[in-house]
Amino acid sequence: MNSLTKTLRIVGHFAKLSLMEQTIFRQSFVTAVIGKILRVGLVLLFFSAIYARVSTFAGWNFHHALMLVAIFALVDFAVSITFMRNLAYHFSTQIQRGEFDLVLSRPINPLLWATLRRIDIFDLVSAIPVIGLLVYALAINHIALTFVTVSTSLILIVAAYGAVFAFYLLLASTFFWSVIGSGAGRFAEGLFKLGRVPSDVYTGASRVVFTYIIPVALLATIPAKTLLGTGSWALAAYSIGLSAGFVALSLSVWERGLRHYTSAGG
Amino acid sequence: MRAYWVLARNVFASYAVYRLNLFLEIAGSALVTLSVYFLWRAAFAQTTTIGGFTQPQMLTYVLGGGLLQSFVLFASQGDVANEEIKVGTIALRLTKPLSILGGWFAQDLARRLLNLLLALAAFVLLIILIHPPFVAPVSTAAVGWALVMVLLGALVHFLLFTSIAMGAFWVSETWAQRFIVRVVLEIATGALVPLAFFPSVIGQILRALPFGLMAGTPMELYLGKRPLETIGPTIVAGIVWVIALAIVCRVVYHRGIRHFSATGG
Repeated sequence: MNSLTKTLRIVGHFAKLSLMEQTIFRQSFVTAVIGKILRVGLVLLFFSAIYARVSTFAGWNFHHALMLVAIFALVDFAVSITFMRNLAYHFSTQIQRGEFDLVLSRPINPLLWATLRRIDIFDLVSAIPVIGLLVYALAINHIALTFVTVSTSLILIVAAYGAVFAFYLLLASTFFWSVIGSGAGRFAEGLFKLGRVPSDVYTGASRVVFTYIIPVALLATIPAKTLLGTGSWALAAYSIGLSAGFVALSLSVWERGLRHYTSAGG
Repeated sequence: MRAYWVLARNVFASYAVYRLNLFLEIAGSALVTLSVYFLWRAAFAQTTTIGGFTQPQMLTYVLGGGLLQSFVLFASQGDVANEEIKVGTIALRLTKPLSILGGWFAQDLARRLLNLLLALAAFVLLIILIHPPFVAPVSTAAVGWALVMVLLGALVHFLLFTSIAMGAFWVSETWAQRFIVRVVLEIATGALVPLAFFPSVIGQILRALPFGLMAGTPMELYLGKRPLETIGPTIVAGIVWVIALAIVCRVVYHRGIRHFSATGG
């Protein structure tokens, strides 16, 4: 069995185990999915309350903002059903309790385990309204879906996903040296939410920080601009390059942390 | 009473051991406030007033609302109650000569105070970084009544989440129900957008709920957007909500504790 097939089988088993765990509290997860759909709705309500008073800000009108919200929700959805909780919360608990030692003794890539051990299968349902919103945003902005536009946007959304993964992996890697707890995960979530507004609103030093250092602009603004036709090839290329660089850096830090790891307790 | 004070002090001390952890949690929410701050700043680029607010007023509103949220919203949110009921450790509390609800309240208060201290540090850092315009309060009385509202809001928050968390007496896990309320509160407190900005029916519903006491209404009072003379009904409504939720909380507790059975040997 080649490596890719083995990896896919393992991920499939993780998904099955996660589903079994989730169906123990079925009512909870149905309610949680409703909450996640409600959250997207409330973000739209937030923007509609602002746009009821102003027609544009930072060059974004309400229809453009809808596109941004849709793309952010799509990236958020992909992140939250895969690695977010695993890297931000579960991994630090595993390190604290010494459970990660057992993971290292298994014939499995520890990064795969740490990243995808719990997959929120039920959350796939929340993709339906997110995709619905995206379709609506495309229609209301009269976007013609050409091969170039769609493929570039998909690549940029994947780049956004990669950048978020890299950030969370960097965070998780710090747990090899110092276990901070759930606060670090909450901080990361707060940083991630900075991408929920157009990055054009950031000015001065903040714009430099949030475009080039902690590039939240990658998350939704650049893909949205590409779809809306207001982006540039330079920005798209920068986005992809930065994401790839971030992923490479995070993998390097993870490997270094793994070599440094000496288990918990005596 | 002294016992609850000792409990609160011990909880404060135990949370303070992991203060970096708590600080990061609060800093994360401060970042959300930061994004809304910049959004409003951009919105004012082409106009001097929006909905009766000037730019300095709106920016003060958002930052103040964010700070108040850290005191009101980022407490345990029923986690302690849910966990103790689910795991069965509430049985230990039953053996002690302390009210369980009182004990949870003391713990909650301790957490809130620590949150507020850490949030002050986070927001001072934010202010140093972004140099926001600051609008002084219209009067000392406005600040005083705003604080009264915040305290009422915090009580509503505690009673609501504790009541929902005690659903664990019947369904084991109430995380999802509390998650929905948390999601609603992100908007319903009015910390990000004044509640008056929301369209008619939704705005009326939001203003009828007590969540505005947590951030939005106190900030409106602070800025003079709500005259002092008009706050009487709001304060009375807040007190009524607190009493009603306290009754619900006690009823749920008494029914739940009769239903409860600890597992294990």
